Amino acid sequence: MSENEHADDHAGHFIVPPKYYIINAVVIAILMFLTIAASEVTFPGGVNGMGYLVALLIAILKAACIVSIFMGVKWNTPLVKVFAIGVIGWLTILFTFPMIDLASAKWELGTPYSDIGHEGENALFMDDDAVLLVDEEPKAD
Amino acid sequence: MSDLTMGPKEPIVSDHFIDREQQNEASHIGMWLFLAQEAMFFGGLLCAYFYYRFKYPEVFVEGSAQLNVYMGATNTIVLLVSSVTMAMCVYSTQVGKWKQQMIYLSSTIALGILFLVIKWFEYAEKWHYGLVPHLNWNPHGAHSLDDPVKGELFFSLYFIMSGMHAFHMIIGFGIAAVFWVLCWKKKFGPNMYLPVEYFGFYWHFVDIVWVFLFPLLYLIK
Repeated sequence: MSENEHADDHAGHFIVPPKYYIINAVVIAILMFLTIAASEVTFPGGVNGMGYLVALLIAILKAACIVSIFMGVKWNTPLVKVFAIGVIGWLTILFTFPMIDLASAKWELGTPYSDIGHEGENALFMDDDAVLLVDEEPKAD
Repeated sequence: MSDLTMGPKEPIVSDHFIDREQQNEASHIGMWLFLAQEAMFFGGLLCAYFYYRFKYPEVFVEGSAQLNVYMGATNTIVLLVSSVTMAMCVYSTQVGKWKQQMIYLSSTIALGILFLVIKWFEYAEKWHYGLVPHLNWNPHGAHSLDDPVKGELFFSLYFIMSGMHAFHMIIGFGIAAVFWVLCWKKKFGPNMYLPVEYFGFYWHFVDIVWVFLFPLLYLIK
């Protein structure tokens, strides 16, 4: 039986049969238990290594199940799909720049601003004037 | 058998749309734009989370160990079941089954309340152990954080992220209460089901946020 025979057309809008919802919920529940099981496995790379990527990947799969079946994007028009998938694009922009900063900047929680940018650790990212300004700040002692 | 008294007798198409299909598509796009800005809101919080997690991974492992995985997993199941009941509520509206519509909407609200009750007990536990930054933070409390100063960072993110998620659920209750009354009065039916469907979108979105929060907060090892 084809998919369209299951789903009734309603003004260009498919009515999704309940069995799709039940199957989808079972799949998401299995993925949830898989997430918990994966967290017990020791993956290479430590806390931010492979285990972290597996957890994120399963979460993305679960989100895809919810969006495509529960929210019905699977049966929507191509234009609506563009807007739905476009959310990923917006989030990619949002995540890219802070992560670039994370990869390049070298600071620690509680470090005074005046201690950042001295020669050595982070000098590459500061021009000469900036280093000079930092050096000219009055010392507490 | 469909209840013919549910919703308007004929589909309502506004003047500025050619037909119902175009109207439905336009309103779907509007709803997805709303959800996109909601995703950006939670995306900002997740960004802060990722940033500090990569900066201080050991702090996040210790902080996560203080959370109750069983409560988190139970809440995941509760939200998942509420997503199913919400989807079934939309289906009942589309096919015109009033009694089922009311049962599923009421079940969704009840499961949402159950989620918040579990959350309440979880927060109370954190309060008891002095793990609530600024309000009740006790670095030498009963908990086993090696670095209580940096541990505050994890719990700040935990309370902001899970708190904003809970806040969205409370907003959802407000909307659900209005919809419950409107459904009771049979305002929605086969010719008027998009408002119920969009409330469903919002509810599913809240579920998606939790799908990410659960492994990122509770399962760091």
